[in-house]
Amino acid sequence: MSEVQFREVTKRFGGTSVFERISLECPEHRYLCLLGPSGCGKTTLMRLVAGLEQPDEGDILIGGQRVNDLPPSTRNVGMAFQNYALYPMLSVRGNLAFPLRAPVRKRSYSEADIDSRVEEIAHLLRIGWLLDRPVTTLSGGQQQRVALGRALIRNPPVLLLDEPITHLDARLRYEMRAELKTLHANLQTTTIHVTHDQQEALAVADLIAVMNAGRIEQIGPPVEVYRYPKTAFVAGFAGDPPMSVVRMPLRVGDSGLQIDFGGRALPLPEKFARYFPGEPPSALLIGIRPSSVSLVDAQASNAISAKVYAHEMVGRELQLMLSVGDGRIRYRSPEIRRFAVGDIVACDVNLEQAHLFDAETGAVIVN
Amino acid sequence: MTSDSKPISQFNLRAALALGAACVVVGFSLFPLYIMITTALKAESDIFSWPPTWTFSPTLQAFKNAFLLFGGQNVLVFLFNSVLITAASTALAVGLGSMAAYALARFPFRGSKHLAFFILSTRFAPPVAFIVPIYLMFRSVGLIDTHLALILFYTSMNLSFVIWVLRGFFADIPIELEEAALVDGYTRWQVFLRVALPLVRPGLVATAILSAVFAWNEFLLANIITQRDAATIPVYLSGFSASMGIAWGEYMAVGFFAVAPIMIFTFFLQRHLVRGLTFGAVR
Amino acid sequence: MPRIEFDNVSKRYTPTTHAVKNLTFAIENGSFLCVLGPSGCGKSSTLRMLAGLESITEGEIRVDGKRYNELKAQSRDFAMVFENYALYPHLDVYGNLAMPLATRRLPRREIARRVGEIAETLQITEHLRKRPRQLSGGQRQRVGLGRAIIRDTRTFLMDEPLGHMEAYLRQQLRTEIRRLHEELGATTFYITHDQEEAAAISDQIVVMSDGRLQQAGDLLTLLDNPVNKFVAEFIGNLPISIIPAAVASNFGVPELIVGGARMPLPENRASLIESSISSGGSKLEVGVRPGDIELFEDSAPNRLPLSVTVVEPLGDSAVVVADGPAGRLRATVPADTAPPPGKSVHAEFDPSRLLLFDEAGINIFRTA
Repeated sequence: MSEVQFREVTKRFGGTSVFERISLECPEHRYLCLLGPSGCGKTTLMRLVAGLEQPDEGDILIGGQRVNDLPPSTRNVGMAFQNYALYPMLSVRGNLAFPLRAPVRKRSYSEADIDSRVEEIAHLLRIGWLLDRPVTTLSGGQQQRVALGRALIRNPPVLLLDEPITHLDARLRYEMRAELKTLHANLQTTTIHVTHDQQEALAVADLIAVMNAGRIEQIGPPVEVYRYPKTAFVAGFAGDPPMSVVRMPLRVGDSGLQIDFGGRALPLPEKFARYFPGEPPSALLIGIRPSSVSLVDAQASNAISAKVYAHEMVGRELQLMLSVGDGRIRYRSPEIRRFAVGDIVACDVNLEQAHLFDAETGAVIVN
Repeated sequence: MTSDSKPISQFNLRAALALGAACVVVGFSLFPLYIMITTALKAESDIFSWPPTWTFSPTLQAFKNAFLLFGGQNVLVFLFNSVLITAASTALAVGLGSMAAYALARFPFRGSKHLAFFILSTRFAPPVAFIVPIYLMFRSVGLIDTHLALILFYTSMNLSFVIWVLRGFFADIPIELEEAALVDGYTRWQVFLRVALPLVRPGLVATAILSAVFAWNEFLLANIITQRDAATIPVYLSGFSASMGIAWGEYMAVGFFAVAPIMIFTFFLQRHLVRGLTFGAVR
Repeated sequence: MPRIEFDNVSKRYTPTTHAVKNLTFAIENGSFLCVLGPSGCGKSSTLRMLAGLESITEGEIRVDGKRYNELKAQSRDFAMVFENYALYPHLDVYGNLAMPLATRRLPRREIARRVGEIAETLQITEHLRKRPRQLSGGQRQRVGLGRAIIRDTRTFLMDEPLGHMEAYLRQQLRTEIRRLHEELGATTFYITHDQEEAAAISDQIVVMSDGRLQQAGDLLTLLDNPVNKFVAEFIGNLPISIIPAAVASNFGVPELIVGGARMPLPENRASLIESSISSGGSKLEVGVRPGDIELFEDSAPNRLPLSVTVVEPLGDSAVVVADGPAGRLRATVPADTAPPPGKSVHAEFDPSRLLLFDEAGINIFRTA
């Protein structure tokens, strides 16, 4: 058994808390991504599993066993570091064999065992031809593979990956993320992967835990996190492109509730009305996917006046950021047209597909 | 001249100038050594000839004299004392110092910076200032004229400097290298031996050389607390000149023995100073 | 605004190795040009020659027709933004922003007004009294940008300004840089190794590799009509798939054979094959972008049989990584229709979008 559990874990550094009473579980054989901006506590959480940090309160369990008091050397986890952390004085072979020669595993591996394990893992990661090179002569992608190999070589029940592919070139990143997924499908190692890149997390994970400012905003499969974000933060962070989250005033109009889009009031769709039985809040956070925004004729009945805040090409597609009221909404143009910053356009927002969040707490009202 | 060859000749001219300047510097610093060795090999009449003779028939007479003088003791005894004391104090200083430096670099505690500074501050006072108390201390524990006395004193003098320098080297090792080894099943002590020490080898070499040079050349304390049994080469040299007036040939012959071991030691270690200075595997 | 020309510019650091070789291109006045290439391709040397920080070995750099080779860096009137921000650590944000003005003997009030304005534009007003080390990377680069624009120069040189930042900060700040560019209308020369950034931010892209210009053009030209395999692989958010191919004749009309599938070609592409096949290109490869592949359950003569290895959901769409005897393909499909790993699929390529590379990597299907 190798599931990893956090039970009410609190970690502080010199009085400031990184997170308070976090509970989280990565079930056995699953691939969990901890996703969040820098400083959200995701790396600290992973280092607690490795034993490189100690929790101030709460328990950390690996395979059901409490490991708080175990030193890193006996926790039996493999870890790949963001900067690879290869030993510059050793060859690729020496780096790969290093964990097998650890004193805790003395006499578990004969020299012949070590050789065959090294050959095997090098073959798996396609670095067999590099075995006798000094690691200092390898490219970034090759160093990354060696680091991964070193973490995997003793078949640890738990694998920890700290931003493993973030620093690679785009091309290599795509290659390695498919490789990580294949590797996981083959080895089924319980894996925790830390990243700030939401596309990487969506692509590679079974489960994503989105973190922000020391809190876990949501945990679930990638598709669920993307489609049904539980908080406004998750909505604005995950997805390619993510939905736009804008704060707009809510008004009581003649025919029910209305959302005020910078002067133009759009009726709140009927299906949402039941979520506001009593006194409606004065404002809402509204999540709008680019696909539910369209440009319309300025004379159209629903036309919202918007200003082009920015325009950029993403792949073959033109995307606009439109300023509406105090918020900005992303729009994907079906055709390539020339826009300039400051252009005035008219747009329509399909509120039927909107996601509503509480303006105070950011918690989801309806997806 | 083609446009391509012009930068090449400029390049070579610059290289030639640099080489010439280097030769001048090297010649300047090697000149005393040259004088020392030639003087030791000259017959007495050649030493004082004026103008100085550049060609002469070498003789080993000065070396022979030097070996048999100073109370009939062989210079090799003093040489042995110097080697033993230098080697032991250097090994101790670097060995203990690297452990202390690693602890200071990796286990910060309240006031660890003050401690590091306090350690360095032991070098602020000139050694002559505490020679009298040291002498009294050594006398009361019966260490006068023993190897151990000098080994202890040189170790303590070098320790602060070794700690200070190596602390910087250890702090420069990316912490992830050590964390990776911890996770891979190594204890802290093994991480120190297997990962940290190999990575600071240039620092070890540099501090070893400087510690050895200090111990080898130290005269003041050695002259006071050793007489016969534990006297080192510098002590021998000084006694030599006092008892004989100045016999330049013999003086230079002994000087040659005083300089040679430390030169050989440094010569073999200096390439390690440069090697491995780059921590290439970590971005 | 200035127009900048590179005319056959070369840079050698040693007599035999070129950092930059025979570079010729122009930046139209007021436009935003990205020099894009992998590390070591010579893009930094190019920028440093333009800035006057490095000498030009051969060729000429002209600004508005005037030769700049011998002009000192400080006389060129360019404002530069650096990857490592290059802020003065001993000055606070206000001091850093005011630095370029201090040398001009402006009245204090005027300086304060300008700094306030710039800080407002870049949303760093609240940080004016902080030192650079108290700021995050994104905030530091905002200061770096502010220090560049405060001088009212007409040309900006930016050296990977977003290189050290996290993905979402980069996206935010690239938007700000583009907005500033349009607001000021200055000519901007920007270098990066990130094709996504180059695509998002620029009007024109110059792709460099091994010190040479590979291709210059707007994004769509580079995507649809790359000159060679290098450009095809370097440009595009999701990687292009490149697999071996052969040409066969079907009653005199050339077709492509890719991993056993026979793919008929539109007439214009077929004729391009006819004109270049005589030159004896035997070892051919096709390039196809993920969006130009459709996956089917059923086989057909023009479909390539593959087995799905990995599926990467990206939100509304998913990338399917599939392997076959011919090699590995990546296709984007709507997330709901993505086949599971292990399933057999049959890939059909959009023949009007195919690229075909000869042995030297030249794109035979280049039309523009």
